[in-house]
Amino acid sequence: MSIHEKLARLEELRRKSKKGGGEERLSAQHSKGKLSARERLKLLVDEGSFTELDRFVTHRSVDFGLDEKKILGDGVVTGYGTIHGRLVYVFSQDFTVLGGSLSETHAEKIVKIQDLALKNGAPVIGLNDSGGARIQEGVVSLGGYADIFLRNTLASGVIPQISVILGPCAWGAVYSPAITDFVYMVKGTSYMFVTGPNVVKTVMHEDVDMEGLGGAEVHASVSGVAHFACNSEPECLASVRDLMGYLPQNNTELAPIVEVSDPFNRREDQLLAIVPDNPNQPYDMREVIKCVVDESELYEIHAQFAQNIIVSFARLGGRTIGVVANQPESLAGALDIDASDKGARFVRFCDAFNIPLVVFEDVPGFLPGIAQEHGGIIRHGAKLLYAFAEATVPKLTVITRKAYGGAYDVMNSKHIRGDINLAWPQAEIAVMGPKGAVEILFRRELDEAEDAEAAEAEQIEEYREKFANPYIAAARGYVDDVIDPRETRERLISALDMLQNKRDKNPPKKHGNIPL
Amino acid sequence: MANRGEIAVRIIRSARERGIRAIAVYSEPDRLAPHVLAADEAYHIGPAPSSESYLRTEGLIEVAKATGADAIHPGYGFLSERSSFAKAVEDEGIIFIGPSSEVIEVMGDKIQARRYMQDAGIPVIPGITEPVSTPEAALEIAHEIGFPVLVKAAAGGGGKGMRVVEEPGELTAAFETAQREALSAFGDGTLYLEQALKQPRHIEVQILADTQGSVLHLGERECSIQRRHQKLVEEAPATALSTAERESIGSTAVQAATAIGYTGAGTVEFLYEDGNYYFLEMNTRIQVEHPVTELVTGVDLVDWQIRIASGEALDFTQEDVRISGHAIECRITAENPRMGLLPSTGTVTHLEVPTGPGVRWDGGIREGSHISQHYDPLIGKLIVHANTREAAIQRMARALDELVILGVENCASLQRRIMDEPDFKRGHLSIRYLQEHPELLNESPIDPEAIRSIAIAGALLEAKDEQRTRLARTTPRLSRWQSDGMSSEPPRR
Amino acid sequence: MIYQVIVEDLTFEIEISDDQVRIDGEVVFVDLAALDKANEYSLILEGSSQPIHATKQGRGTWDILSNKRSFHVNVLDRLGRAIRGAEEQESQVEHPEVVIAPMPGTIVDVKVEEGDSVEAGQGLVIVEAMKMENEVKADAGGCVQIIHVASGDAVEKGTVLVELVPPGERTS
Repeated sequence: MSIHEKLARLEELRRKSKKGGGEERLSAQHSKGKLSARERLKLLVDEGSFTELDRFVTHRSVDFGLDEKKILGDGVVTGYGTIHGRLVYVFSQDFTVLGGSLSETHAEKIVKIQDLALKNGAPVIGLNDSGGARIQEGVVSLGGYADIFLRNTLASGVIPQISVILGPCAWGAVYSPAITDFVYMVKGTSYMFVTGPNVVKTVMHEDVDMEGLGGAEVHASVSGVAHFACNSEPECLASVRDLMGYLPQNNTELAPIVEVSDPFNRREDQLLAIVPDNPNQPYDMREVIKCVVDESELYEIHAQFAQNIIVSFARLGGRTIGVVANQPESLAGALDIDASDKGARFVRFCDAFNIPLVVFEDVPGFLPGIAQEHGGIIRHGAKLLYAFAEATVPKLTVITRKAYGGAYDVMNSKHIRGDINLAWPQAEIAVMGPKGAVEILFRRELDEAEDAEAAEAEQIEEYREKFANPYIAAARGYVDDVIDPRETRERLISALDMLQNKRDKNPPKKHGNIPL
Repeated sequence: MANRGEIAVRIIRSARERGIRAIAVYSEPDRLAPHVLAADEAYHIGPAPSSESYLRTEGLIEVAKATGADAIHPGYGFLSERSSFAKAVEDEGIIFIGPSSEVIEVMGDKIQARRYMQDAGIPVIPGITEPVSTPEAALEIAHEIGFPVLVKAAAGGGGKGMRVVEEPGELTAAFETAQREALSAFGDGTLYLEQALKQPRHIEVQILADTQGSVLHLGERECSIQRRHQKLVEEAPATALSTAERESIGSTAVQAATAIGYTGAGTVEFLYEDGNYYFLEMNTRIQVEHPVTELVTGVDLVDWQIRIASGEALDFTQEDVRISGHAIECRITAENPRMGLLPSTGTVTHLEVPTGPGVRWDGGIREGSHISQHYDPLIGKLIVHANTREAAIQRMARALDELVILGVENCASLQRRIMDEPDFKRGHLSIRYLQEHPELLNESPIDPEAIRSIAIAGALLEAKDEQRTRLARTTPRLSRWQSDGMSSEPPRR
Repeated sequence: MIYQVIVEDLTFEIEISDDQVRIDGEVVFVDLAALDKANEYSLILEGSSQPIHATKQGRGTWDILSNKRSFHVNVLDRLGRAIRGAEEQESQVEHPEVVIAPMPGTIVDVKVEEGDSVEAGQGLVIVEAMKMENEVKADAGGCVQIIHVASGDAVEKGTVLVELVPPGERTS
């Protein structure tokens, strides 16, 4: 055969490899509002930047008639491309090929790009759409999963790993996304559960459908397994691209620094008005954050989950920051189990990837109650404290109003190595709120008083005057300064500039034992 | 200055020219307003809502007393026609720059004013000289007067608390709305009714009277171009009037002012139709459109207000008053012509003010100023003066073209279209002008070229934005200092 | 980069590459420079110059003010077009008409009740702002599904006041 004939054969095979499971199955995907594996990749990476690897891989199975069904690529498209001009490794499972099921070779393809990613220090983005293990392959397929899981674990904290669930992801397959840093799901088409509705019905006698058991909304708002629940696949992929703009390639690099026209010394008069004078009135902490960060842009994560804490990426002076903030509008901003989990994971991600942390604090304490106590608020709350204390990235805190009790310590206080801690004039840094304190300290006097109410009110005022302010803490250097709220942006950017070159160490250890 | 915005700035300028210290007051959102920055002293008087700041007599008097102010200038709107305020000021021994509280009281109640003028033999618009308390009573009276009628606020002015009713069925709703508006704007919901003339022109006469009994008029102004009874374009003189009519209406105004013992600057407003004019109301304060009179007569009205208030006598007579050339003013407000002049809020991000021969800008905002829902949406007044009305129109068109306001919707494009409109150019005006030319409210069809350029701009902006996210190939790495410090091994040599 | 740009119901295809800009296939000479002030730019297109004030409202959405007119511009790249496609599929489902406050102010009067039928142009709510009352009307006729505000409420621009559904579709 001449070279031309050989080239023609190559062309033909290339064309074939792009067909996946065939026209019919493809239209089935489309009719469900789902895109094909390749269509998704095209939208995800920069135009024309995708280079495919292993397109000719086929499975080696012979049992159950599978030797008749060899399809090029074996149900997953893998390779590398760029997002915003920066290298990423991607895999996109093809549901039209044997249900996107994972076989030995399918897993090998994924493992290959995971290894490449680790060697070259670039993020991995996985587009999951798979029925699960290829049953015909038996334990070999389970082994394939495990190979993937191992690399997820080894890469954790070294390169960013992102999982986009665009279809079913069940049984053992869920552990890969669970280990990765961010999980995206699409409403109506993605599902994640360890045990499906059928088995749940049989064994536990609980009647629930796929959406209700493990749909996007459930995971984004109840379980916290998913960080994002998007309305459509293109929206989801666009959101992933947005996220990538905030992240570094790996843990030896800093996140990209963007040119912003937002002046570093922008004073926002609004900041004087957002926090109500009445300390019992809630406000939306997002308003505060938006006034401070570059171009009022937030990339919020876990928006629907544990809404009493806000975690978000943003930029200050063009640099990515990780924002952690209490949300007074929800549960009065108190910390609870879910909020502690949400916060701790985010803090540790930022610490792993050299992203400075900026905390906006207004916390009255931890949420009381039997559910919380029995649920283990003690060890969950400790996670957040551990995460902040352990972190060695630049850490900034702005106390906008309350900072009571143990929660004051937890929210990146100076004592756990907060680098710059600032307070607004209305900040109340105290062991507890005036009312509670007075009830304890003056119980006897109040019991004996003639007009208990008036006496209490008087004591509360006095306590408020004396203790519910930032100056006692400032007098000890627990906060570095009390600032005019309008200066917040300028002070934070100045602090970040100062801390650019920060280095700090933890005692050498294999790893700590964070309460889990 | 018990006021804000452009009039406060105007007053500060006159005060400065007289060597008088100017003290400003401001509500919270006005902290960085031009009048605050221009004044010699400024004091905070309350939060945003006018009722808690600029309308609060106690607060204003407190500032005056604490600063040892000699006089208070109320500007226009707010408390300028509230006799109780004038009285409170007078009682403190502070000079109120305006007529006495008694005169304000008489003219401030529009119903009383009508009666007064009627008794003085001055023609008034057919209507009722009693307050109307219920929609039912209003309906009865309206039938007597004959539709269309005008429901008006007794304590009112500036077009607020006023509604035209064409048909009986609309009366109740109009009554209730007008009442609410009046209550909100003036603190008084009393209403009365007048016949609505068919196609009248709004002609008003500027009065200047000193405390020595000299009462003069400084010519008339035409303010027929109004929307919802708010003036948009004013001019001086009113070319519709013949010389005889001009003299007659002028002397009638003087007669009216003399009858009530007026002092200071004031305006007598008339409606003019087919050679007849009827007293509408008298405004016992400086008026928004005073600049057009200043430009055609050369008389500085605010300056004279100050002089008269300090006891000076007018140093010229009626014969000395000469009208020269023609002046036009456009009130530039934060209203969106496309949405029927719905008030628009926002921050003025870009402001370029026209200048050049014969152009005057009396502005109350600067770049960065925020237009909120709490106050009048007036951004500033653009006034031009030229030798003839035609030349003035050309000049105003030119000035409006030079004016750039970005960040907040404004009505300048509407006024620009008026300058081109044939009926306006011919001087065919009446208070129904805008109703008769509704097409002026629509933006001129957008030039397809303009759309194209915007589309290109949009694409370039988006591309620039995307480019910002893409960095140079070298992503910033940790410094040696940092990476050495992070490992648990000793630093490499 | 090829963008689909939509302004005032007109759609253009604009291609931006390193060395040139094309609109609907035609090459144009254009320069957009950012001024010192945030959101301010100078656009020079085929020689003619205009100042522009632009604010990004969201992904691919810009509010551009020029020559005293403001334009709402949608700039869609590949992803943007795909998202729009998905949204359009979504919106095949009939959604209620949402009536919003056109500017910040205070609700003075709510003229309808839930369940009322209203006609196009009918007044629904009266909002007071800058001392003037403004009536907010229904765009199209329908049935009042939900009323979100009451007399005395303070509202921002864009606050949902009333939700209408096409007549006959009211769900209680």
